[in-house]
Amino acid sequence: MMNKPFDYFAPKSISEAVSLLKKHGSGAKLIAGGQSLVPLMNLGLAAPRQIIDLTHIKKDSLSYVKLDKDSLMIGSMTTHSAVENSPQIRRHCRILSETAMTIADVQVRNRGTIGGSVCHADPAGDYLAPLVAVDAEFRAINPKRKVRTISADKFFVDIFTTALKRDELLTEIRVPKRPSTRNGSAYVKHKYVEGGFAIVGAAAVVSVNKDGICDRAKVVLSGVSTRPVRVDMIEKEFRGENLDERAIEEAGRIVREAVHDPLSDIHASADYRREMAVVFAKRALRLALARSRKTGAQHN
Amino acid sequence: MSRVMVRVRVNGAWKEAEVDTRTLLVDLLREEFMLTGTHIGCLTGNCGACTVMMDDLSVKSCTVLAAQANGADVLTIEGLAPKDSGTSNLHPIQQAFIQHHGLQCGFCTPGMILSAYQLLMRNPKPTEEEIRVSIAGNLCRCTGYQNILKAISAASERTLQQSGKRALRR
Amino acid sequence: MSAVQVAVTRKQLVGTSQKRMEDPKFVSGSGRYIDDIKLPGMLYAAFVRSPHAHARVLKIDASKALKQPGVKAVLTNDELKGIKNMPTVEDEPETVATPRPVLASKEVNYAGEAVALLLAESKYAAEDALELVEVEYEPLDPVHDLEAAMKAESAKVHDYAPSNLSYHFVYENGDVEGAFRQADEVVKVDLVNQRIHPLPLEPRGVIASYDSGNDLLTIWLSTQDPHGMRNSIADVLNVPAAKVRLIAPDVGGGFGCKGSMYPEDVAVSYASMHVGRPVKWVESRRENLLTTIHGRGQKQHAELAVRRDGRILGLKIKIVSDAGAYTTGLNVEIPKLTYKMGTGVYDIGAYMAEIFSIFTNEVPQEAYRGAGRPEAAYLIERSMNIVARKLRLDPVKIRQVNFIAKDKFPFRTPSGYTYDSGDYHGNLQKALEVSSYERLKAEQREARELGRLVGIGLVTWVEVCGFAPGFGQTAAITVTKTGDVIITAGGHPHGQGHATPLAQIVADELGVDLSKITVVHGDTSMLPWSSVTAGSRSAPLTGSAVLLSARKVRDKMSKIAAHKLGLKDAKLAFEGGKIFPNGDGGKGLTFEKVADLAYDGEKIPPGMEPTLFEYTAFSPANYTFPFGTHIAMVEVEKETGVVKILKYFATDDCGKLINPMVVEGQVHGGVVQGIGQAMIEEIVYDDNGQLLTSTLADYVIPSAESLVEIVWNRTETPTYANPLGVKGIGEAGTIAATPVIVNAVEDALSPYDVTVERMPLRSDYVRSLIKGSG
Repeated sequence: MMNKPFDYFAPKSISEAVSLLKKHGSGAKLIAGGQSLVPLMNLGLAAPRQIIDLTHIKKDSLSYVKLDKDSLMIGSMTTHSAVENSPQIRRHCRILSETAMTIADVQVRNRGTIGGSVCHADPAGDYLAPLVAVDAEFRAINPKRKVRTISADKFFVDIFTTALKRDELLTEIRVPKRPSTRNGSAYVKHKYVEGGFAIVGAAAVVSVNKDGICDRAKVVLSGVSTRPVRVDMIEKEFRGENLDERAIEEAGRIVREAVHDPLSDIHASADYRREMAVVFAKRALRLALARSRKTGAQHN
Repeated sequence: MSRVMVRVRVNGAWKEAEVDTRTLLVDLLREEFMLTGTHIGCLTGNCGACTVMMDDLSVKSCTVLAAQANGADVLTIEGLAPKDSGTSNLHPIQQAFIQHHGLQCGFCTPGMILSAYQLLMRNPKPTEEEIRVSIAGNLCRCTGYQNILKAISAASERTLQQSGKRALRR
Repeated sequence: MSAVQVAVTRKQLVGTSQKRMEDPKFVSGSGRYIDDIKLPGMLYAAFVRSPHAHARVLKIDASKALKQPGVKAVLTNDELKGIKNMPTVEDEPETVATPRPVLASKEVNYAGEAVALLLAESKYAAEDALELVEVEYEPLDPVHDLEAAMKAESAKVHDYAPSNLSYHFVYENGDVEGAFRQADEVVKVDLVNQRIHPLPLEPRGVIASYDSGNDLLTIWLSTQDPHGMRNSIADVLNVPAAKVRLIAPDVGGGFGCKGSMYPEDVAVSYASMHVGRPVKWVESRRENLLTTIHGRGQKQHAELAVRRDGRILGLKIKIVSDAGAYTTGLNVEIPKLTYKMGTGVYDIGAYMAEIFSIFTNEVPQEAYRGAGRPEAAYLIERSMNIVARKLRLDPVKIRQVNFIAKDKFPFRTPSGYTYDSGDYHGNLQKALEVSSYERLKAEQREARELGRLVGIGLVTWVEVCGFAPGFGQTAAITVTKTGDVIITAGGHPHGQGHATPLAQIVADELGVDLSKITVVHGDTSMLPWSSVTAGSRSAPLTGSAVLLSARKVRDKMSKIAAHKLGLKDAKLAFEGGKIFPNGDGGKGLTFEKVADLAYDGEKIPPGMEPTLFEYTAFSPANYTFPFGTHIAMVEVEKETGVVKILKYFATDDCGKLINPMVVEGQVHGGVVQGIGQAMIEEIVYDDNGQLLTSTLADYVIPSAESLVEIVWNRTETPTYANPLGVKGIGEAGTIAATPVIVNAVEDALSPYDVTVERMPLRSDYVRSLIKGSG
């Protein structure tokens, strides 16, 4: 059990990195924190011919958290620890810091990056559901310095597969800012063991008007399917509704319908995953709703 | 075979070695620098026996390529206590592990101690729950963790009583 | 005894918690485990392993691999000249022996079985070349499911073993049929004790270095049993044991799995002799999960003849044990231990057991912490709870009705053991007090009224340890001319911390400070024999061998001191580094002075041999039978099936204690391993015999995050089986914790009236129990 040989490149800039990607084609692999890739290489399950290491690129060009008028911008090399602890993210996108906090363990969070995690696109990866739920956008750059923006919804294509082209590098994740009141979000996760991957991860985002009536309610699930399951019916059905406990039960029924052909493994059967998708979707909704109703609270 | 030159500041001193590009940080430390206190328990980032500090952050050195550590400041268990010291000069966390029987076979111990070090650097007065979470990435098959929690908690109290964070600094 | 009487001095250290002598090296990263050893000119071994669970090996072609840079040799079994097969049973007609070459040559019988050894100049060179060794296999049907394997039409692991039977034994003691005729009710219990992995944090590893000039093979092995492995490896290699020296470095946990010899140990040793250079192999975690022995793995059935008041009149058990692919010595014995301890702490006169050991195309099962006794405790303690629920009796009550009474010890069990000593009522009583059992029950009632699924589990366990009469343990003590004390201890620790308790015993006997004492172990050149560290035997056996050696040293030093002081008939005290007549500290000699005299033949009593070295091989009068009560409180989340442990109380009786800190540490670790089996651990093979739990992401063990404090208390019932009165504690926690958690969960689920038949208690399974009941 050991990794296979490869050529190693340590580009100093983003453009150098994408040029290397283009040059080496499909055998090349980008490495960020390496928390998914290196274990797979050590097991012989991944054997890239070239490794292009992003860790020596000037630190603040890919690792940052910034704000502008409309968006929160997170550099792709921002570590889970940094996402967890960033005051801006805590303030403007609490669900993301809440998510980062649940990832694996301290050492993995210190080293693993948000960009690396989403590009790995493990169906049980924690960021998938919340990023889809908050309508995040992914910005990628190619060797011609052309920047492409991909919505989170379109980004996750299949198990370990994203919409990125072979010569594209994910540089940034953007999350639209929302008013700091009457918005609530939550990520809850059912793990098979502490620190383990999610059997089910459920992200909910809720907006209510001043009368407490739902403007928007969205639930996205990870861990149950090969890509995040966005429960569209909830988004459509609940606008203009009062989100009471009856409505949440109804949401549960919608989730049950929406989860087709759930994943199955030694830790949880397909039936159990579907059932837990319902349970955790409802939990996430309840929590998001409670947060949205906290007057003046700055939860998003 | 691709080779790469790696230069790392280890326990305060710069060291360099030319290694296979695929060399892991843990192998660089163990095989090139003879720092065998960092152990290999799984190579999949699950057990935490290979935990070291890299630029003041605890990392699992089996999931870091040696080349990725180029230029980094690495602290291993061998560097936690001042050199040529007896028991009395061990780091407060090391002393607490002995005092409270926080180890049995000793294989997980260096990684466990560095995770405790990371915790106390960030949070000098952790609750029991915070300690449990902070070592969730370090598996121990011998102790049932109970005395490890006790040791970390005692180290925290002791360093707070003394000079706060400075006592933690090596 | 001579004219000089050995006085009994005040005990100072035995019974007190002392910091462990080996810890400074471990906390500072100076431990020296197998992978930390590098020898000049060392080659690295890697093993070509079968991808199939069951296949014929048709052809092995290493020519491409041999052309790779750095590759020195590839050895298949045909090239291991003059060696024997791996050990199996001999002269046991009732058990099917399985001839097994060191490297599989004609047939592979589990996924991961080694078929060739590859030697190269570096780890990478060895691993890279592995895939170039071409092996042609003809896949055969794998045998996986135990029940199916027993059927005549099943595929066979070995052609010569019909119905995949390794052995079948039936034992009957007392009037079993009579007991069942008299019963008010017969309760039947079916349980699965799943296959799990010992999982020491340090995997296995071996280094062999052959010195052709002296014809001496030195082996460094991460093992629990240096002498045993020396003998076994020498035997399979067909070389005299005298030509093999085996050294165990620091061992990073064993839990039973490092008590056996593995094919790699032999192959690496052979390779070193073959190429004349040191050879090293360290197991990867994947290989560890794939090829290191597994444990437990039994299907269990019990029938209990029960009287209405809860008295068990008779017990029948049937055990189907998963042997794995081969009959090794140990996997014959372990199910028998389950039978022998099957009646637990209960006075059950009529007892019948039927044991089947079945071949499967999986890794052989051997000893995992407790080895056979956790399985026994699981079956009887789960059964007692199921009976109690049927009869609507409190789990405490049914145990009290059936306990072996205190005045019946030594107690002969129906299976033939003689329990040395016990006070089961007293220990249970203490456990109820320290856990505030009545208050726990009140809390449970309140929680249930709120609709919460809170349960309380109780287990009263006993095990056999201190193995055993005829199979004892050794130790020697040297006092150097300078007055330093060296304990050369039999039995090599793998985390238990032998050194300090042994030094405490000697410090008390010889009246010297702990700092004067050095403890060494783990090298076959140091003692004529020592036996395996297993079965919670180090305190009772090594401890006693050390104590008796210390007494011999003391006796001799007394005589030398008396001779020097011109005393006859004096009782000498050994205290504070001095040896002096009782009550007359002023007259004495220093310990160092007497040691110095001992090395001068002219200054010691006539006829006495100079030097101070005393050796003892201690064989105990009986096994020991520690016991105790564990109580756990759990909560099951109805919606998800998630189990949360709320409280855990362990109240154990291991006789006298040498170092309470070390004892309690053993309980903590054992309990958490037992919880691991109950809650999350399981080795899973698919129907093709492929291991699905081959990394620590899939084979999960408890982390600190989900545990609670273990509240430990004790009672003290000494044993007569050894002079220290200690019983051993290494396996206790593991034995008790598994059934207590399952009992607690079953109690939590009592509104649904379900029986928990299998483990681990994954939330998926627990949820299915809740739903299944409608």
